[in-house]
Amino acid sequence: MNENLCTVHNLATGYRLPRRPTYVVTQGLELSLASGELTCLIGPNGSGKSTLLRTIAGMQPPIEGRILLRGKELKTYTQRELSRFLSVVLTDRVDVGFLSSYALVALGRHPYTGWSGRITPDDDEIVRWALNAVGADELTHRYVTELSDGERQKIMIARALAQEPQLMLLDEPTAFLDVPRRVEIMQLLRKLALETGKSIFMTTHDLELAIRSADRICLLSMDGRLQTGVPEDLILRGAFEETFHSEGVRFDREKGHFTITEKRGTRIFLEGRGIGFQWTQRALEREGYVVTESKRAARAVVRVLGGGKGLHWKSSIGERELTHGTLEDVLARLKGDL
Amino acid sequence: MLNSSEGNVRRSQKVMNGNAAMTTQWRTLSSLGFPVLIILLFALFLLDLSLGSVRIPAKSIIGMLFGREPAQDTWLKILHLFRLPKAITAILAGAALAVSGLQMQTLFRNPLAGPFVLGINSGASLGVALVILWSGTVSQTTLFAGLGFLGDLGLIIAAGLGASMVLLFVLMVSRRVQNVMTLLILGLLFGYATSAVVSILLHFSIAERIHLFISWTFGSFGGVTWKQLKVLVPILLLGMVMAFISVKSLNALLLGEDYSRSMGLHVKRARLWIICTTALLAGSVTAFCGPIAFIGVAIPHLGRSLFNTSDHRTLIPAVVLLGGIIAVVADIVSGLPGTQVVLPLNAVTSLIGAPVIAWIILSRRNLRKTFAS
Repeated sequence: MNENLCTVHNLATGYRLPRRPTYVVTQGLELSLASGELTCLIGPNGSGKSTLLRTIAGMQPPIEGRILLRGKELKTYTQRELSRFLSVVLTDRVDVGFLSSYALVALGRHPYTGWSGRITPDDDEIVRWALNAVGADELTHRYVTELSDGERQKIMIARALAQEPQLMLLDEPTAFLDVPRRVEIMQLLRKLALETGKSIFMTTHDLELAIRSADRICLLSMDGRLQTGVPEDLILRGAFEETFHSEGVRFDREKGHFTITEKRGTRIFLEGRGIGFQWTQRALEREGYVVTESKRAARAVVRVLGGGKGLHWKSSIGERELTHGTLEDVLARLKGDL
Repeated sequence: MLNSSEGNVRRSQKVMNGNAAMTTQWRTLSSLGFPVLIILLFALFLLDLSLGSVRIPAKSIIGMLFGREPAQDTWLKILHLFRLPKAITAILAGAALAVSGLQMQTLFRNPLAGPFVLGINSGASLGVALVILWSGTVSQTTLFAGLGFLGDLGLIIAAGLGASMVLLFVLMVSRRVQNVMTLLILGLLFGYATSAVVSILLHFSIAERIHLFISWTFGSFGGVTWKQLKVLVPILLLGMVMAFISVKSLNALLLGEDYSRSMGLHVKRARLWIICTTALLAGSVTAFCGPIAFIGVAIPHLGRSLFNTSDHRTLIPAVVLLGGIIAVVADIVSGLPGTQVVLPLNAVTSLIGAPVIAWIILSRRNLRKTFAS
């Protein structure tokens, strides 16, 4: 049974400013984070994701409400207790100068070491375990400044791990990374949650990846509403559309991603199967055409033929039919003749 | 000696990049650096005692230090009254400035920070300027008559008071501000304000007093007597012990204040401790030796560059030794051995030190890693 590590009750986040009214970002938040689970916090820019994360991390005080960590009020924790319970990976880029990856991860032992920060053999073992857990063994002796963004992010996660927290909070750990690196980091976090029993809570903009990897998703909308659940439940409930509703963008419930909609586009009838069909549809939609299911309403017909290397297209407008070798040709013809 | 061992480090790094064996070898070589620096410091200390307007052979120096009678009686007087306190002051002041510069660079995460970014020297110079330039009630004769012990003491007290006032101001502000950068900007503005006041005082002052003030701003290790050393030495040693105690905080602060806080560091307390340490070290050196430029900014870079690390557990002892070494070298050169002329200390530290250290850092090509963006 997963233990409940963090409960947020009627929480209002925001900023208290001197001599000005308090700026409230979100209020009335209810949330709970369980051990062994990866939870992704998703929401539009400016909805208060980072503020919520920072408030749970104790980096800024809540305006209202309670945050319970293992049943105990956050504000009753001393700084050292808190640093042994939770660790963070922030969006700030750290410039540590001449530190090896090992030395940087070893800084994560700060809450446990003595006055000089000396690393004992026990600490050493944990640092090496953390480096190994994120798959960064071969980076151990490299200087942090020489690492790529993806490698550096792994080291920052290892540093957070070395703090031996029960709760890990990560602010957009996949930002600035390429797609394979994002998938890798997400898989890594999921594996860590599962294997070490930590609760991992992260913000992200990577919807599809979050839907695929997270045990639980929290959707924070612009009006401050927080919906929590298993990803698929949220999709079926239509929570994504609600959260991200905006002009020109539509959430595709079947595929689990956003599509760009242009309502006044020219209708095109598309015929074909498989991956060729799928990407042709994407290309047409990107160009602003509407792929319809009735041949009557369509002004043009595009057929996807063959497969693999023999893939080609036929487009017909009225009586004229042409054959194309690439989608670029197809789009050029449609643009020219319609 | 140091250079060749460091060269080996670089070569071995190239050969075995990313290899576990590298670190062990690197560690042994870099720990070799410390004995080399200690020997170098001691040798330069003896050289500083031996060179000057009168040359005393190193053999006699060592003999005198162990209580033996020198070949000439005047040598003992020169050594005891002038050179020994001067050399001790140089080593301690250099070390103190280097440590406080390192602390400020880490606290503000800024490679251009130094011991005086908080405006400690501005406060001291304002204090001294007020005493020298504005003390209208003191007639000229008493001013110059008292220039012996009492005059110096007056300047020390004035500089110390000025520096303390700035410290109080900074501490009051630092309790309020969230962001440490605000302190940096306030320190800068405070520096401009005080130099404005000083220039007004200069404008309405007479030539002799202006000269006196200017020569204070040149800096000197020579003015410190044994009696004053009894005050200065304990203060500087205390400051350095305080700096050693702060290594863990300084290392955490490398990651920035948010991360340090998340790792359990009490950031405001650590900031207070570091500022007090710096004020104690830089403030007292400025009070006794004048505002000595350059060492505080450059030595931390030299330390990082030679030891290839940002870990303060290595850096603090490294900059203590390097600061002492560079200050003694500057003292030797400013004395222009064999002549009666003495060059302004600040001119020497900057003119000779800057190119040398620039050359070392550029030839090691690793400065950019220190504060890469």
